[in-house]
Amino acid sequence: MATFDKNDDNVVVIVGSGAGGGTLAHELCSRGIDVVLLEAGARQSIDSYVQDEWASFGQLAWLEKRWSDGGWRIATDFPNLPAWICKTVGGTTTHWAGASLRFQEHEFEIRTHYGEIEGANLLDWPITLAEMEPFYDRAEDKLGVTRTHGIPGLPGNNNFKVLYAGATKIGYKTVHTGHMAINSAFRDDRQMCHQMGFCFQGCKMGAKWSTLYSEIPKAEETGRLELRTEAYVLQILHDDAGKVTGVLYADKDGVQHEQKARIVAVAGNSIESPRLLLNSASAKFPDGLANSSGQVGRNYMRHTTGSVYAAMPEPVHMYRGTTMAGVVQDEAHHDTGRGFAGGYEIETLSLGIPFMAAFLDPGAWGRDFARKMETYDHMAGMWIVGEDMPQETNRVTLDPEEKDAHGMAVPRVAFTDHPNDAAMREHAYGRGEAIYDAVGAKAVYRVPPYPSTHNLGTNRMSENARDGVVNKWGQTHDVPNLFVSDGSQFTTGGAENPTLTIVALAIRQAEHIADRMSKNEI
Amino acid sequence: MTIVFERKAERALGVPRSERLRLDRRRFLASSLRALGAYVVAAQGVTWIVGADKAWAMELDAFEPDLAETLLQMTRALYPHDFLGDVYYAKVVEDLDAEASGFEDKSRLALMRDGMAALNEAAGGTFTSADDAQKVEALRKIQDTPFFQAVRSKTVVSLYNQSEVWTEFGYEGPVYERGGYLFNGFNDLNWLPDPPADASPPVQI
Repeated sequence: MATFDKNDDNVVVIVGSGAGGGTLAHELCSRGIDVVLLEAGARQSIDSYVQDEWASFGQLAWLEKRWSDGGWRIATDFPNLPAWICKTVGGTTTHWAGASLRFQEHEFEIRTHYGEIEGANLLDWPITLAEMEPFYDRAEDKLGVTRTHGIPGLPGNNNFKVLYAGATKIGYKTVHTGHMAINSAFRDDRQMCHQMGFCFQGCKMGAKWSTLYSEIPKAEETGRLELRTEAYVLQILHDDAGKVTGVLYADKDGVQHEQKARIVAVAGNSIESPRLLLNSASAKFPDGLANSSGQVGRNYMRHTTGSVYAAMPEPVHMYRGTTMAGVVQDEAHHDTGRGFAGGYEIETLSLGIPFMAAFLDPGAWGRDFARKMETYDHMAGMWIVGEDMPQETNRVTLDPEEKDAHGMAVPRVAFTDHPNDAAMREHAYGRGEAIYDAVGAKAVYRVPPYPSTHNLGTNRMSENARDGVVNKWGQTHDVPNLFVSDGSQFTTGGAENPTLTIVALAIRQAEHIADRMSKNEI
Repeated sequence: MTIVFERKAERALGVPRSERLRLDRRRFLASSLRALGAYVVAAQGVTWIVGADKAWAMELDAFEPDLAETLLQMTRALYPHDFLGDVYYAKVVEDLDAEASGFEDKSRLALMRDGMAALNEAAGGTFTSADDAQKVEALRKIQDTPFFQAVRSKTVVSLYNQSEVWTEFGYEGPVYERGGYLFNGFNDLNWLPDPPADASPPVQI
């Protein structure tokens, strides 16, 4: 690994080492560009991961103070846990389940396809599927996505068997073990999946792609990456001309350092990235950096989600094997005949006993809840992932009073369902129940959304500077050498799990940055 | 889980070093951990929760006997699983006790003591002498209080985070040491037809 001087103003500083930041680091380093990668969390490994839900949560999750506001049930049940994302090297690629689906063509242009929807802040992406396709292709190769590039699908587990039987019985056609960034056979120095379960707790086989053991070590091998762990970025600094000059960060002892930079790329996920821009307000940028549009922190999306678990007539042991073991894609299209715009994916999911107790019906107690828990070994489970509507009032803001240990304002995350979101969830719950009822479910449980795992949209991409924060390259409209490289760039969320798109955008952005740097344009 | 079979417990409680404790752990689990009828005693100023057969005992730091007994019954009423012995609920009380004694001031302990008083009042006398239906009714009356929320939120984590409890629910948990469920039944469900190979390809070995 390289080391760079803190006054070296020729480096690219990347904030965050997850899907966006970790990929961008590798892609830039492999093009001969020096990178300082700042990660707030510590470095774990496949050896240090633990197959224990609460212990792993303590090891990997972002547990710095946050507040949940708004009409979502999370604000009541988990007031300090709006999101279930990570503070560790590799970011949330340690925790993600591996589902790697491309956006559909219309999902880059929903303002055009859906028209005006009251209360929704719809906007077309400034890029199209056709432009993204070559990058999706490279992202799928990088991640080793099953059912692409000749990579076989994963074998289905018991939970998938129930989903498949029920879904095909009620007429669904596109039902399989998914497009997963989990090795079905040895590939790219990563082992094949041993069906451990615990995909959310860090894959102890290293079969699931994570920047922790894929992109970051490869970047280190180039001799152009310095990874600084437990480096908590507090502010992005700029000069009088309005160009960023570096970042201020606190190390693990709380000592503050300034790292100079030629370019800063922010990839802290959709709560921390806008928080950092807002916290970088100055006399020149009183509303926060790159916020002339007022859109920083707004349009927070978290996918329309929910789970259906069912008590089946015979044992299932759904926790055995990959957590997201299969998908039903028949509801992913846009068809307002169902009573809402956009679509949703249905994907198997399972939780262990500790998290099932926490999430099955948060706050519930008594004999009825206990009886549901007692059906655990007979349970099959699924998760709904649907497109939610961007709304300006769903947003990340800084708490006006409360500061964290470093003196940085604590973020507040406000979210309320749009009526379209609620209608979609209701439809999806019904279809989920129908799938399990078709194969004899004794009981079905509608489970409310978990703390957000897909956090999107708070620095959105737009053609015009007035509508969003970054342009089609993730470059901020206001500051030419400041980029956003995570899911906060998403103009809209699509129905698909976001990681593949984040990676494809990072590959594309790296090419752009390298090109512009080589021409001395940045 | 702190299952005390130590000399300290023997001295304090006169718990005999029974033959049962020399049995292997699996038989101990089967024979003792499903047992009900745990009781609370004070010995030399220290509160203990003791298994009905004296096979285990847990030492508490902060709680008086009546508070420990109330919480032992309250945690079971919150998440009643008839196949779980008292030892698992005692573990929750132990965690609540550790939490209360971990506070520098006595605020958490006071919350528990005041909460118990309110719970007794809601039960029309003494919560621990109420029947099951009365207990549920009393809990419902106080379910919006900070005391109730503190106990419930601790219980839902602490009770279901015990590996012996997982076994009782048919959850096998960590499997890394066994090489993964790939070799341990990940696709052994046989009461539904297997999906075709294009939907669910064979294992690539």
